[in-house]
Amino acid sequence: MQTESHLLQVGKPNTLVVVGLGAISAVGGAILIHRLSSGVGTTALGSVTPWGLWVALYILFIGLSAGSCLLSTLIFVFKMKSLEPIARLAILQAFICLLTGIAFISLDLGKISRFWHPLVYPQFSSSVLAYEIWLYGGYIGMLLLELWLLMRMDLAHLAIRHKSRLYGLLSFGHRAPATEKEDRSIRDATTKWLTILGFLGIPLAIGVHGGTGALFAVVKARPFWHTAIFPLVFIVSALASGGGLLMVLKVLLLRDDGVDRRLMPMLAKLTGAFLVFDLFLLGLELLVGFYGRIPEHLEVYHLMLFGPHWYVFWVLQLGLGAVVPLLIIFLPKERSPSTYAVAGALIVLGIFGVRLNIVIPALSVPVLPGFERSLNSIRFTAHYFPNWVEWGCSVGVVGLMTLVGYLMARYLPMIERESHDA
Amino acid sequence: MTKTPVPPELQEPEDAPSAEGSVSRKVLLRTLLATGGTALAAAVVTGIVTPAARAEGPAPNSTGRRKYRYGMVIDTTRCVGCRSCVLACKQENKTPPGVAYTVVLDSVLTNRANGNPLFMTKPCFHCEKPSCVDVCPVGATFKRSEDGIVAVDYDRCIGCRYCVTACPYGARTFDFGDNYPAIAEGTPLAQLPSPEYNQYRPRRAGESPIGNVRKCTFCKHLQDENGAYGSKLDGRWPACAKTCTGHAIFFGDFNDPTSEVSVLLRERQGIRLKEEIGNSPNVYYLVVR
Repeated sequence: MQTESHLLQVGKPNTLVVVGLGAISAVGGAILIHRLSSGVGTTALGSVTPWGLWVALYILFIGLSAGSCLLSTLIFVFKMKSLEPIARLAILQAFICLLTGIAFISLDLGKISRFWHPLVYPQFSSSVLAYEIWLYGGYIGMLLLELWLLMRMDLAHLAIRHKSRLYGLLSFGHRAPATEKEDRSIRDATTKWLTILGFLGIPLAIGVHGGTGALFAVVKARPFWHTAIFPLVFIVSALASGGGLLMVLKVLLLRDDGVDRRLMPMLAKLTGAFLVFDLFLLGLELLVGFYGRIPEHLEVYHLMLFGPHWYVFWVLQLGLGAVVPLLIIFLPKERSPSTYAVAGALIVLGIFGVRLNIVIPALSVPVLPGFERSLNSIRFTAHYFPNWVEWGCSVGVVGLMTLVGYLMARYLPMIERESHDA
Repeated sequence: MTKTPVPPELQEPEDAPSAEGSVSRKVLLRTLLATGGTALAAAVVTGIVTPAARAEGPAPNSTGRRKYRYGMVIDTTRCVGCRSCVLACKQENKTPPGVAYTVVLDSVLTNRANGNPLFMTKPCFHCEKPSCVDVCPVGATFKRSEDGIVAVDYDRCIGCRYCVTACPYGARTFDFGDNYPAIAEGTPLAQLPSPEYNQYRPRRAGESPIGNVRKCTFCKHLQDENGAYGSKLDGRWPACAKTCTGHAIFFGDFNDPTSEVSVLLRERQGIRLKEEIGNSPNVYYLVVR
């Protein structure tokens, strides 16, 4: 039975996956406790390179969130029917990735216990970061509202079917429609509200990630960041990475249901197009940087392209992260959904390289020549590389958030019922 | 009280009427918001938030100009590069390893005729338009309205280090909680608190200023109750300036046209670093005799 099988999408999580993710979270969690009890001093960060891996992951995950939120507006606002099966997945991904991003930036704070200060004492007169943190609040609210609107009917059905108090609670007391007519009117209302929220979501998601780009762009002390194109680069690479992750999660989490053959090439071509646009913007940045020959600007590019960590640019960002997935996506050949998923994963990996190269090389070129040599201290070095605490905590946070996301994807109705089945 | 007008070469046309850089921005922002109709944000800006209302001490005087405008003139032709300023500062402020309120740079100005390095001691420049103050999400760092010193509120700062990335001069360092072996926690020397901001905070793991961003305060704790400093001779001068063996660091009030720093700037050609970015530092370097 069609409707029955759709509802069965809500099911038991795979024990092996849960145990695996749980183990990763536990190991990472132990390192996390070390970081939380001993402070930021446990990292390899210093005063020349005050930001590192965690800030790169912060912008990666905020981007993954904003990217998939923007892609979801293609469904809600621009009515792209072929993408409809991943509407809920896109919003869930946006939600989990935003929480992950916030977790990373909180981890980076010297005074993590004061995380609430920006909410109570925001400096709105000039700080982009203050606005940014407030935007996150509105953005989370919107995502949760969208998720509830999408799922409320199914949640109400599930509450009845499984006699579950939890599902009843999650549907916020929303009643399962009793008649065909009622069902249709609720569906219409849902579509209307999602269109409105989708419209709101466009500026909000652009604000959330364009704002993250603006965080960097307003810093005139770092010429590499201080360009008007920077917030745009953030948004475009967010769309590419968000689409990439959606391709992976669609294949891993949702069953095929016969839609993948149409959906996956569509999503892949869209994501690939954003990636091409991202590469175009990268080309513009390189052109202006190299043409200008402003020393601090040029040094950042030299470090990025030919420095000790050249492979982040050439291998992660360009080779694995762009050339390979673009060949998979755009060569005129039929690919299986899982091949597309691999391309998606590679794009996410590539954008991770982009994020590392946004944060670290720009800071590794000191603001004044010789500044990094002016104090004999491990905290005064231009050669930053994340240490085991930073890697360990990162694995832990990602593992834990993946576990939460996985459980949510398993227990929530991720695919819409075809029709009323009372 | 009225001050004699500052000589034209010392005047900052941009900052003339407003005592604080953030005021004009706030007004601009309010106008923008009012016209743009972002009702929520406007309510927040006007209602909940009044960021700069925390300056301690006397309010700016009636003319709207700050009472003092402290700054330095550093005569690099007198500097031998001994770095005792760095040491004196560390001793005065009890800064831990990796935290320094001044450092000596030797390769900012190159291409010199004789090929010798030009040493520059580099404290915080206490800019007229400090980038660090602009970016702080919680207003924990601010330019004091009475004397222009850029200070950090250790109880407000969340340790995000945005200001460290935003300072064009590398004036800010983060306290990662490291300690010199001799003053490791539990040793008698560790009991000596830093006099910074007259707060005398004992250094304990997890407590501010550990986990905060730290910076030069022009040894603000040596000011008297009126906000005035003494002289190099009586010792109530910033530690780097009073210890300088070659007497290369001059400290004083640019609002006072008779002060040593004002006179030096009038008589000799001073330069400021990265003049083009418009932060307008209050520390000048003399590079020729």
